[in-house]
Amino acid sequence: MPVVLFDDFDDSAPWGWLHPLHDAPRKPLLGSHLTLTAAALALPSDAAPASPPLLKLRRPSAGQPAALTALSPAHIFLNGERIAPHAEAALCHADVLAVARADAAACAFRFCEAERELPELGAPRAADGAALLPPAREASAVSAELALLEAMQREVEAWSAAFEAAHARAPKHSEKLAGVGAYRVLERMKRQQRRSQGEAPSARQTRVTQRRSNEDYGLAEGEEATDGLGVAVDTGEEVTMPQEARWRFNKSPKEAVKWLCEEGAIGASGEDWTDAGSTMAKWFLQEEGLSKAKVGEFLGGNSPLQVATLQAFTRLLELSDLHLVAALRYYLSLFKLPGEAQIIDRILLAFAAQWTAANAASVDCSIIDSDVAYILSYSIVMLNTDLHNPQVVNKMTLEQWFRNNRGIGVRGADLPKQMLEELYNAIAKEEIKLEQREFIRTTNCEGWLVKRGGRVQTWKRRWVILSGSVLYYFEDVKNPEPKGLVPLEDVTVRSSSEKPFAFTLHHDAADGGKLKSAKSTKPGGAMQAGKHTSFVFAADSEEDRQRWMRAVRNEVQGTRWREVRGISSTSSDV
Amino acid sequence: MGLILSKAWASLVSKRDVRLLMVGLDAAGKTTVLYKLKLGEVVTTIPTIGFNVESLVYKNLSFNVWDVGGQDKIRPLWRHYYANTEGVIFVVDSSDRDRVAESRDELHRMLSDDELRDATLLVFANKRDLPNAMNAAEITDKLGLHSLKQRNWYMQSTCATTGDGLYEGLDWMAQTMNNRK
Repeated sequence: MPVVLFDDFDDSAPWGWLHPLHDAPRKPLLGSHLTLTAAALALPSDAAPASPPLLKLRRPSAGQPAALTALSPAHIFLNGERIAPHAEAALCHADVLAVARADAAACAFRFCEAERELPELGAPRAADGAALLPPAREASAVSAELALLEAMQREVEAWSAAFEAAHARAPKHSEKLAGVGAYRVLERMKRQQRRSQGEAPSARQTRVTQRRSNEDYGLAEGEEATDGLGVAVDTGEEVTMPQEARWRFNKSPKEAVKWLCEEGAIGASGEDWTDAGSTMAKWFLQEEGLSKAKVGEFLGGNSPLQVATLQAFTRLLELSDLHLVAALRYYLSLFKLPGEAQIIDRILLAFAAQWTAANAASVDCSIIDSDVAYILSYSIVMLNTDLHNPQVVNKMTLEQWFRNNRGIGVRGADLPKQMLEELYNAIAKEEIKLEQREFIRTTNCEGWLVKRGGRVQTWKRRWVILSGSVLYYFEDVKNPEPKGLVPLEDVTVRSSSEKPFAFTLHHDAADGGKLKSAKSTKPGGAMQAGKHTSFVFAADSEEDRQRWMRAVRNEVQGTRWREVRGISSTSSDV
Repeated sequence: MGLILSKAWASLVSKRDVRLLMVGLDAAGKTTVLYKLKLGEVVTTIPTIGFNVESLVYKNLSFNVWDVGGQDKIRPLWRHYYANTEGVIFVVDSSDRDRVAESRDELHRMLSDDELRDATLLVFANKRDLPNAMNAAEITDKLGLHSLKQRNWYMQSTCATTGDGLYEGLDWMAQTMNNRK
């Protein structure tokens, strides 16, 4: 029986105590940022309601994250690590508390702004949940993350307010997804959160809040993957696929579908693939880590299942009140559009039908009907190719664009020139592309690390991406430009005792020497050569450190590869 | 003498830009043809969202190949690209007897466009290695190539996955283009 853990906070006190409570959910604690949802602390049904407090909780306040102090000598674990009794530990979004009793499992914090956002409390998870716990965090990291979350939250609120002012109603989930980038990030975090709390069926529990490498997902190097935005949740249940499905799909969609049919996860009723298509479509929109290229390849196919999937996929999207180009950008950010003309044709036909239906009220159908929207979308994709594909030498001019779109309107009419000009400018100014940091295509490893400063040796939290033999570090997840980068040439990686779970990058040569590196000097571009002889990073846990060191070693290429591995695998035992 | 030398030199170094369109039903093997021809060159970095376009240099011609197609409604949009097109590569799956009629319609519809009246036609009868593949004569017949009046055309059977036949076809195209200038 799930029991909610709650506190004796009164709003003025900075501290509170948590007791395991026996009865059904009481009014949950609403801190200024954090809500303890305590999803699943299972107690035997006859437990006394007022057991002694297990831990003390401090509310978050300006600049200070929430924190807890364990009161019981042996019981409290935070993210899988035991908290020493009476020591203080910082708490943040997605942290998982576990109380080590035979009958207890885990409970979790969730970032939350209002009571109504509290998730349904799921069934308690088995005590083997330990394997699923995310790594511990530093207190400073926590406040940085909170600040980032707050900023994104504010961005979403501002956008929603603007939307409400314009449309006299609150935006829907899918509209926010299409409209504001920060919402995607927040939603993704919430979903990861829910999954790590064990709400999802067991097949999904292999997913941890920690990011996994491409390899675990069966993705090839450099492949873009879907981000599980849950667009489809709006209209129905979450889809459950067998655990291997993602990996198989990323390897070969065709084989995966055959396998899914054999497994009974999808199937045709007679000749009718509608239901199976709808299941696949929802899966594409909900699942994280599917290859966008493979999803695109699948959606473009012409088998009955693929056609049904494309229809269902497109219908699940909320495209109302989006300008044609904005809708197209959103649509094409969900998968990689294949380059074959006939496939593009099929996909855009489905898109245009949905866009026209969704905007029937606001678009003048004597100017744009579904046919025109389709031709225009096709023309826009063509323009995008023409203007942005480096293989095309002579770019289409605005005049040529006008001429090429002559007579594509309803019954051979011309479209308004101003509209065409706006479309041209929109595409010229901003290419339609998959969301990505422009210069980084492959992600071999990414996550938060703390980095020691060069001159001033303070520890700063950085979002680090390892890609194509270069290590980039960013101020936060959303930054398009790195704070600095280190090409991994002649580099040795060793573990270090400068900080728990730290590792360093050194020059390969015995006497060290300056490493190749660059850092950004001012926002907007300029980079300058760095003077580092070493870089020090620290991870959150031993496991995470090993993951990073392994990834760095794999990237250090060239003739010294084996040698480097030999050196560092002995030195990593330090 | 000087003139001859300079002409010879020019024909050696000058690259003529030729725009080709590549057309064919889906699954005919256009993408494979396109990428097989690019083999050995550096693959472009971030792929642009949109149509497959490749440029390749062969002999002294610089080809710019677009993958085009789709329903009738969007055909007018290709005018811009038809306008400067000197050659069309039409790819047909020689093992797909069910859709060969559809291929023929597609081909003739495109060639009827006024902008393409002078374009040279190269047909790749692809997938010739498959057991049920139609032979060259059969395809020529089924595609109605004989009915093409005043069109310079050539048919080459290919296997794009191994690259067989592709360069023979391109050789013909390059030669034809050189003769035209």
